[in-house]
Amino acid sequence: MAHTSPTTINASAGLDSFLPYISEVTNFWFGRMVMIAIFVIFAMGYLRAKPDDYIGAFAVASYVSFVLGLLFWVMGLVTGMDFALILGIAMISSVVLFLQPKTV
Amino acid sequence: MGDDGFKRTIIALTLFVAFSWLLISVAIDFGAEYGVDANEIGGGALNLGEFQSSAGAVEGNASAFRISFEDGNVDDIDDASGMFGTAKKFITLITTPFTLLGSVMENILGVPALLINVLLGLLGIGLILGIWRVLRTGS
Repeated sequence: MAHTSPTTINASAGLDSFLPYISEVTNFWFGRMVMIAIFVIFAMGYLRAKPDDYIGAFAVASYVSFVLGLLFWVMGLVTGMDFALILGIAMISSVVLFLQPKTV
Repeated sequence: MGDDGFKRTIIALTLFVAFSWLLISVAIDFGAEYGVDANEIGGGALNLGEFQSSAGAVEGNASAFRISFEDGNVDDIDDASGMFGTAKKFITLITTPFTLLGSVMENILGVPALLINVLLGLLGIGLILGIWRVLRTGS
């Protein structure tokens, strides 16, 4: 499949022109990998602060991914189905978080 | 599945419906504002109507449960709407949001239907045994 040449991009439009081009040439994998990286970074950061609280780490990472995924979705970096997946993870982590017995 | 496990399960699954409805409506409104096609989000398993009907069913079952208590027939086994009727309302109250949760897991996260069925089966058995314990010992 032939992609658009990068020299045809109107750089004066800033990221609005670059990001759709990046998504197009990587078949949305750029946005997906960034989302995965964000999820892992926040999950690991939470686990570093509160070791063994895997449910909390999963929930916090999924909420952060939801907010940033929402922006990525409207920017065209991830597809609707990718964002639906993030949404599903946020929902499942919510119910797991609500079911967790209080430890304090 | 004893003590306040029931209360936690009911509240968690009901909150799941409300919280999920909130997340989806935020996504759809935000997407519509920026001209993104939100059909992929609001269709299928993440249809807002399904969450609304699930919340309505939970509310209806909770009302029926309350009426049973008000009538004083929660532990009257001679009455057809007594103990087993109450247990049935209890189980329906918990499983209604869980069915929706299973739908999300299957259609969005791609969890195999077999696994969902096993989880729902275990939940059903756990609920029956747990409710029996609650009704028998009052714990």
